[in-house]
Amino acid sequence: MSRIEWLVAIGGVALIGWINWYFFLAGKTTPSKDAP
Amino acid sequence: MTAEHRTIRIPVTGMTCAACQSRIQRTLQKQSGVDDATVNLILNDATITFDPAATSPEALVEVIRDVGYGASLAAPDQTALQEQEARDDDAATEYLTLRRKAIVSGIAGLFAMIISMPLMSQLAASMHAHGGASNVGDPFMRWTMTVLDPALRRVAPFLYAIDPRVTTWLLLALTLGVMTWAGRHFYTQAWAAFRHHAADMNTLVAVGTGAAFLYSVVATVAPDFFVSRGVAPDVYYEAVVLIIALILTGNMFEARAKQRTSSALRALVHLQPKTARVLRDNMELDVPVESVIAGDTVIVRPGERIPVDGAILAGSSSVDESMLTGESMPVSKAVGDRVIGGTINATGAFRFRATTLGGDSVLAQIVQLMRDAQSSRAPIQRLADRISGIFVPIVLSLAVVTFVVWFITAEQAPAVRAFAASVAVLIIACPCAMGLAVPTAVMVATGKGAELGVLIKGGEALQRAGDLNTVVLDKTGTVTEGKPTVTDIVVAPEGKFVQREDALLQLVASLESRSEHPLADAIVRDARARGLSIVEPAAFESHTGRGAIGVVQDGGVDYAVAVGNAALLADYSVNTASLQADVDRLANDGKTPMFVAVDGVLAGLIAVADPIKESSRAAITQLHAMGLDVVMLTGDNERTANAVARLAGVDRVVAGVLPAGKVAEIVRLQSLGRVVAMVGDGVNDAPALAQADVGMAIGTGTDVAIEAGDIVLMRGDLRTAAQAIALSRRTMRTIKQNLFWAFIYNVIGIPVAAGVLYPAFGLLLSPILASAAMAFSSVSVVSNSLRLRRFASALPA
Repeated sequence: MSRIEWLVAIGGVALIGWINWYFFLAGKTTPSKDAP
Repeated sequence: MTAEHRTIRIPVTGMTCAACQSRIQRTLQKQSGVDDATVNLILNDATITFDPAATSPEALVEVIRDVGYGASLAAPDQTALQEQEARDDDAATEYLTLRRKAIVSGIAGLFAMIISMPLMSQLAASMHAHGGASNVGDPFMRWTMTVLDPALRRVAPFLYAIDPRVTTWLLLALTLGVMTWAGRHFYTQAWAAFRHHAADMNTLVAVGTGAAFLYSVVATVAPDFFVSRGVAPDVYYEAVVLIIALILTGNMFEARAKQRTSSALRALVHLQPKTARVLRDNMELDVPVESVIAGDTVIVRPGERIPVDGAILAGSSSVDESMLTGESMPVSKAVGDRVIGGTINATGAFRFRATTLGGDSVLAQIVQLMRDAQSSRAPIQRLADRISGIFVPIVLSLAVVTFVVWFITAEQAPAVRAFAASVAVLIIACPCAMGLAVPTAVMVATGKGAELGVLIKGGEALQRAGDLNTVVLDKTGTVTEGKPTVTDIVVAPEGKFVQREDALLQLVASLESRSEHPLADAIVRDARARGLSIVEPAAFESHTGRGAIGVVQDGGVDYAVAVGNAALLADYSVNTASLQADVDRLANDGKTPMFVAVDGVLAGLIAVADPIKESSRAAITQLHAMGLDVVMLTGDNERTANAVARLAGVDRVVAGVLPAGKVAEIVRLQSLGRVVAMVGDGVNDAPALAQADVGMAIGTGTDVAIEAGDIVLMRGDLRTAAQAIALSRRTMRTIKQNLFWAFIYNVIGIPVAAGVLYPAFGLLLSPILASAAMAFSSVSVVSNSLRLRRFASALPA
């Protein structure tokens, strides 16, 4: 694999990680109920 | 939930798919003070139960707006009818807006495609010249290159003479215009969702078309950037415009189909007349129906629609109530009878006193009940909701995987291939079909039910009714008419009344006119119905549990009359032997025979019974044909119960049960693993209706306990119970088909768009074909649900 292909592969893995973190984890860590 | 908690319904605009719905629902459920929130994608509303001490309707509206959707509180004095009308107007506006946008962007898309042809053809030629494969794996591209391009060269050769730079800048302007005007909501809603860590259909469309557009802009503004890296500065403007046009077209068809799913509800709303003719100060005035007050005298002429609920004061007529009860025959109405607003007066003219109005009227209650039913969620929807919630991020991840794999493995133009395939993955994935699978079917089924006189109170009742295997029937009023009537009169050969049946009945009715026994009441009613004159008896004595004796004068002659059982007549030494065979026969048929003796000689027999409804036998045959066990419960004695069961064709009878005993029998059946429906009247059988898996409250004429049971049978016709179960089964089948096709579509569509068929078959999908497939998938799910509208003839009415 060329250097650019490695870059795309690593970038892709990072992007998938970020997508799953942002939509599945980050949303849940924000306070779910307004403070009373 | 404490008594202070309130439930409100907030109309929501801008929802396009199940992910929108689940996002708003989740956000609302997270708010402090909110006990429960249900968002309905089809009705476009949120039903929220909350603690007014902790939050307010205004705050909840703000929450919905903050997630990126439109919301406003319904006017507090709006009735369910007015609210539904307002919704219908909104839905019509939404459809027209989508249609305008779809048509304009479709025309723009075609224009963009035509003027892009020279660019595409140059690109194909250049790829070919460099030994690269053109994008022939994609059927759409193959068609444009082999059919459209040569045709266009012949018809409009001047297009090929235009400087490519001019064309790309023109396309950029056109695409930007379509994106900001017709497709604006995809981007604004996707951004609003993104800010809340959520993703929906708009996200897929926005990321797909946005990426294609940005790539094209770079290729237009700085083509050298691509050329210097050995990549053709290809542009995808026409794809962006066509994708937007096709998705809008899909949304437009979907909006139209969604409108049709609530057509039954709309038809009910339109039953409400706008004006009423009332009598005020002895003048007939046409007034708006809202200004009619309880106690007003309302005048109805032949052929007119009855404006409000009431009771007839003067006149008589027959009324077509089919739109509310499904009863096809007009119902006779006389003084004192109830009439329902929205039904049609047929022949006579009458005046009636207005009783229930506005939100309390029968029509408004039915509309409210149907809307509640259509807002409710069938348990099977939870599966679709769970998948919709995680669907879009997974698709985004798959698009990235597609890009990386194509980039690494494609031998020619890897960036272009990777880009087209990943955009196709984003565009073909359709969470909408999953979101529409259950609610559209529930909407159409509840509407169809209402047309048939079956009010189904929600998706859960519908789903449970589809699983039934045992139907428990109450006898009195459900299988039978619920009103004893004289069925047989037998004249004794040795009596004075041979050939004079009416004279015998007249004597007995005169005597029984002093009695309060239900059987006596049946005899008096029958005599009156035959036009016989009833005289006050000269003497009357009731013998509890045995009968009655007395003296009746007829034609100046006094007759000593005794009516009752054999024991009573034996006391007076009357020989009943000559009619014993008739007594046994009648008793075996479930009838109650009474001996009649006149002046100490047996004169005849009168039998009274609660007759089986004409429809019951056919209904029970239908229930059997559907594979259901039918059980009848009654407080009556075993002999009568068995006779009725035999005549009606019931499998099993449990006689002599009190209301508590009915509940126990249903519990027993449930403990055997049976899924049980109880059919009974909404008043006496309320505990049994509540215990059963599905409680079906059977109505008689206008006296329907709408609040009772999970399903209300508006007519006193048991066949509608069979129809309700058949409709529920059909609906569940439709829901399962919808979910199957929605899942299968994505399971097949996404890998094909990603290019898994390319190595073996050389098949690829362009983003344009993907957008057409996506539009098709949600329209097909709604269309499948709409097939339920043709349910009517599934059972003989």
